[in-house]
Amino acid sequence: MMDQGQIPSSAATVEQVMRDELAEGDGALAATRPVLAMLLTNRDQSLFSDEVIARVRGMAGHVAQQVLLAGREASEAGDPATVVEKLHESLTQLMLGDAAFLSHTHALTQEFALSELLHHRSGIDGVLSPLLQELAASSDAELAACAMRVIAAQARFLQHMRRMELPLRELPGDLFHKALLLMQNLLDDEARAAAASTALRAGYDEGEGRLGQLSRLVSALGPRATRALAVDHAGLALFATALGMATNQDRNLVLLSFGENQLARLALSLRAAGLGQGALEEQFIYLHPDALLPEGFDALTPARAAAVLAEARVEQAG
Amino acid sequence: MASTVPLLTRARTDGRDWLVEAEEPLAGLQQRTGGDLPGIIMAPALLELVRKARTYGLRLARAVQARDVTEQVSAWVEVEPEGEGQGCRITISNWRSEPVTDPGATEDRERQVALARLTAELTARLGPKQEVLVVESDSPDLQPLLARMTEGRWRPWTEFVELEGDSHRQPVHWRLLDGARLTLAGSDRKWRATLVPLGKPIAGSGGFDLLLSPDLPLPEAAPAPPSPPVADTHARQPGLGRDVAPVLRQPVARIIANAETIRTQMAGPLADEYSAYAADIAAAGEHLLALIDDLTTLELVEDEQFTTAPDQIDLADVVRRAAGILGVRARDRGITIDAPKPDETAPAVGEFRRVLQILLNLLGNAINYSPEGAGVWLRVEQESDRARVIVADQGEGLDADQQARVFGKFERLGRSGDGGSGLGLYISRRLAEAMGGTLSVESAKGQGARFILELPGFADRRGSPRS
Repeated sequence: MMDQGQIPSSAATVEQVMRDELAEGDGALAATRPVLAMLLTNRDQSLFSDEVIARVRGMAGHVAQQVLLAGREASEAGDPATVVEKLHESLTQLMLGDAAFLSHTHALTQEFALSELLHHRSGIDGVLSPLLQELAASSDAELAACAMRVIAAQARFLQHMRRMELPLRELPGDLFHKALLLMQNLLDDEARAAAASTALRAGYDEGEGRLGQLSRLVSALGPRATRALAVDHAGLALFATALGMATNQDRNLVLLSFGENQLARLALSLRAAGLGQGALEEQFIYLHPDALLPEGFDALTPARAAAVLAEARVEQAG
Repeated sequence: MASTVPLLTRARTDGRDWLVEAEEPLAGLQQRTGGDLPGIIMAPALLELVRKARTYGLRLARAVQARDVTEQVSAWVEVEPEGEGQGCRITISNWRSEPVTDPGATEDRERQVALARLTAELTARLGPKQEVLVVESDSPDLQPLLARMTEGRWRPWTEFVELEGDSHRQPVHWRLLDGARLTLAGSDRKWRATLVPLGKPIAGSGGFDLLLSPDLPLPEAAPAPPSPPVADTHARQPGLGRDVAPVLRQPVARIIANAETIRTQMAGPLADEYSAYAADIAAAGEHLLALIDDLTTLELVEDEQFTTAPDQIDLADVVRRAAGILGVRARDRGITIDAPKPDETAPAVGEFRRVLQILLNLLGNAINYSPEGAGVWLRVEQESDRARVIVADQGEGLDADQQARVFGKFERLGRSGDGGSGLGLYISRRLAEAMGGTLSVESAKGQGARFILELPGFADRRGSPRS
């Protein structure tokens, strides 16, 4: 790992060190999903009572329940209660079998766990960060309203996570669409399923969800969004969104990069987002208090860091 | 630096994801990127968002990035579908644009291009309007496409491929095609285009290198015979070119590719002298490949059954194209090429690509063996039943003895070490003769050389009575 031994300090060596670290970290990430899928599809839950598993399963079950209930409401005949009961487990399993759904809920679980940890360890509030407070009091009414919506969404998010819930309206558009398709495939009564689906679609607005509100706020900040690149100042949720948008990475990947074996991706992301050595080390104190950056990392330019990240993305894809 | 524009920008699309109404600055972006109004949405990220919103029937809202030739744009975009089979309403806020730096200047870009050169299975040289000049590919699944592109020379390359997300109005600015995903007729694989602009100061003014790289290599299969089987009636000698060349070509190409990898230090940093050795290996490999090509052609032209197509061509036009193709190499050496004027014509009968091959050989020699800063003249002449092109250089010239030997097989006239095979002029003469023409030289020591290619004209053929 990065905190072992002395490393020569030429710029090329640093890049190589970071590249190796990144590859190692990405290898671990790639292994996460199949392992998680294996754990989740295993019926013997007593063996795997891990919190992550429970939360992911809980969220999948909640999503399944919501779409099935919507299906019941759209119908007027039959015995809907048993339909929901009968199909709930199948739909939950289908949701858990979907890689995109799985990585999204996994990332949310990580976000929640880290948010709790930061609150406990460094007193960083999961809802009301200094930056959000300041923005909510801004004289720019539009910006202030935007910040207030983020604060409200963030409060709801923590509440839902404690209950292991994931409201449908909080799903990204692609996953929302997928959940409805799964439901439509499962229900025998096509007309009823289609009606339920139409009603749900009409009520959905991606921009109103928490993730939508967060990225809208970062968009609205424009060049000032760099101020959100400090987890102590912006809070974890806004920090993750801002870092993802600054480095053109998926927010979920950014969240996973806060994990223990992901130091390289995090360090490279922060550098690619333009953080200087001092600011970067400060963020590491919050996220990984024990980690040391390799010697010479300060010589790595943002452009090179972005290039190393982009390269890793190509390898992942291929 | 960053500029900010109106608070809200509205636009509407129809059921085909065409932009039917758009306010500024979206309308401007659409037009600068080569799109119409109404027309299909040009910004890929916006198109994807609108398409999703329409097909899902969902209100979507995301931060979207787009770029045109000079600007990188980021904005918050909300898309609301208007109903089954209809388009969407788009509301854009927080529009920000910043000037982009030329990707050609960055190190990433160089790396990307080097990678594309290594993986490309079809390469083409394009003119400034992205028209196809020369195409090459060794992949079996691309041979039909290769034939069509060679046939359809001078047309935009985009006519021969299917761009993903298609229906762009042609021609599209090269920056928008660079990196485009596409499918090729006859190939099951997915392809990506890389366009390398040539010429300065305006990138692309000297044409482009087009590199098409597949997502996957072809599965290892028994190597397909590169040439169609020949009629049994004609007993053929096994030959180096026909039988060995395909086998040789692949390992040599691999040697070159690996040497290039080492030379460009893509596999890791390296001491300069090793990088230079790798460059030598690559250069030697290139020469070997050129030699294999020559030998293949040699066997072809020596085959009794070798025939050429009697196309009706304009010799002056072929000459101008050869001059265009080798213009860069000439400029590198400070040599000026004086080609026939655009209004000159010299109708002749011959196979277009063979005539071009001869002219490229003659002109290439003239450029190589002229002193730096000299001139090369290309003249076309028309006599009653013959068309003629003269390639005159200011090189050392040839004495009578050398003139007698210069068209010989493997004749190098005492030169060595420049990678030539001594087959170029021999092959050119055989090609000229196969087309019913001649290739000759007039020269005196110290006075430069005049190579004269003569082909039958076609005015007379049309006029002559058929037997």
